[in-house]
Amino acid sequence: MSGEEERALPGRPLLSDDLPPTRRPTGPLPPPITTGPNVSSPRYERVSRWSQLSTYYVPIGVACAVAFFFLLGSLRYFSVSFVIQNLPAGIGPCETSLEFTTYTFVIGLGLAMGLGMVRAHPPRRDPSLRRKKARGRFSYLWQWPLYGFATGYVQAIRGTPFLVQLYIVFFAVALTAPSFSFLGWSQFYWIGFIALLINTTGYQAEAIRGGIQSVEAGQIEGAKAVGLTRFQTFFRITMPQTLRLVTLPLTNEWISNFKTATILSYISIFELYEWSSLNIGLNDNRPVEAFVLLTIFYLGINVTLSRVMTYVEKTRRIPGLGTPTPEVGMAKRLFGTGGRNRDLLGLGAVHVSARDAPGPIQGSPPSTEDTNSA
Amino acid sequence: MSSIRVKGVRKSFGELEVLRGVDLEVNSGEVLCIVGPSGSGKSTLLRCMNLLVIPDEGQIFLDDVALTDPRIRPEWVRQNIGMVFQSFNLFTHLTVKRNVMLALRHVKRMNRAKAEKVAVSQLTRVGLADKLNAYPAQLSGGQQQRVAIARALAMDPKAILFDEPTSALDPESIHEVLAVMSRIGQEGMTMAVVTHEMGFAKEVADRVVFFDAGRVVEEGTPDEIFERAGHERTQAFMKKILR
Repeated sequence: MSGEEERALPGRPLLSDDLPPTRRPTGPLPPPITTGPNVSSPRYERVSRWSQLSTYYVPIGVACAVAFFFLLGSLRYFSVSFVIQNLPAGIGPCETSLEFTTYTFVIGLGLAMGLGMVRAHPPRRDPSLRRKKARGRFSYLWQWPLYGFATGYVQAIRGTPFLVQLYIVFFAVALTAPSFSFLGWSQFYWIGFIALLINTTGYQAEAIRGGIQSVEAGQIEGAKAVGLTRFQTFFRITMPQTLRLVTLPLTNEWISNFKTATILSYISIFELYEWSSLNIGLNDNRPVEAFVLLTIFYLGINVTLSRVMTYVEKTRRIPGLGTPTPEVGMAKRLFGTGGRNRDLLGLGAVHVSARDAPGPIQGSPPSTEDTNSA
Repeated sequence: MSSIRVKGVRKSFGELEVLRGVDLEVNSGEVLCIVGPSGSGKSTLLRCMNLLVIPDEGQIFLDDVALTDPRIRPEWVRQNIGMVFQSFNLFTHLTVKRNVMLALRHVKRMNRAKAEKVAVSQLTRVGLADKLNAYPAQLSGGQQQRVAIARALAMDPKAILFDEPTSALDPESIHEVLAVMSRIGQEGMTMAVVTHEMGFAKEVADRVVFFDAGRVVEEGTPDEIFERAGHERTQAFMKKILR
């Protein structure tokens, strides 16, 4: 079909020819987009207008937050100066939270590497790939209990709430050793520490298992083919690649661990949540301020860390390892400029190319070569 | 250089019988091309030769050493028989130079300076002296395959196996890889090449083997196989691909 026919249709969207010559797309007209199940409707009609709203999540979120605090302030339930005055007092408890999170995270990472390694290599069943005579038929039997333990552990941690895990550790320790102090920490701190360590190890092990399993089989084969042993292959090829692949999943796990640490307040550990809800919320009778303070601490630390790690991962990435994230400019992130989304902001459709125009229904069968993947 | 002899090798994956008694010889300093339809077991045969796949039955000799002997370490075999894959299989997280150096350092236990010297000289040999510090993903397919060849050559192997080295490449890259391969062949390396490049097989191969349904159907000089094939299965295949 030709562009002339499309332009003759009534009610057509803005076409590229309506643009000033400097902004017109050049080159030949792209082929019409015909999509499998619903050939007659052009692509832009199938995108619901609500789904396009997701482009504006940042301005909408900020607007909602500002409106919320204005509302609170006008009702005299909320004092900004009180929040600012009490910020410094939260630094100590925040340090406690960070210590719990980071110490358990680092020790847990060591344990999780072992567990993840076991989880990533289920015991072999197929005997055809190994030398039957060199090793006995049951030479891999020892792997089963190990794999069973690792799997059971991970399932148990991921399948139960942290609160339950905490209380199990609490009562188990409290009943056997009611009172002790070690390295300057009372038994309650140690109980919290152990429970959090057990919890984060399970989650990190799954992240590492995923990382190990996403190393391509070709890499292992290449390593074998140059004469590396299985151990060399694991420590020289699989592990270095895994650690790069799991950087962001592990960052998420740290953040998740930081948030889980709030539950340690249940056994009266004086961390961030306990400080704010007890001192500010109850003693000063300022519940909203207390939780806004918490929000500031948690959001500030988590968003900063997440952004920093994303940046570090992006700048230090080795080409070809891991999936590259698409480049999105700040303007696009804030306002979702470009393309048809602009008319939601009332800016008018600036660049609707001819390919979006409704064309006459074609007699030919739908082509599925380039559009069906979504 | 050394010869590889394959004697009565059988291999099944579950129900599927891939190799049904293969006898084959790659003589010392010879370029042997293995051609045949896909799914005929060519790649599996090649993988058996460096024990990436362990045969169920039969024996494989490198010179006089029986590789199928359980006492032989597979790592030793692979150290002595290089392999080049269809999908290159370069280590993504290492630069080109360190890809070549890795096995030299940790399999051959060379010190860093010596390994680096060998790596640079081999990479120069395949014409990639200017790409030493690039990562594999930054190279074209042909360049990656040449790095893979340099990686195999650096180990100073007794023989090199090529598993469809040009199947994943564009025509231009195919040419540069084949050029490197024919030079290595002329320098006297023992090579077994599974390929669909009939031009290469005709020009460079000393002998050609036609492989079908897990068996060697016919073998001979390129001329004999391509022009005067005796077996009807070979004739049909050649007719299809040469046209």
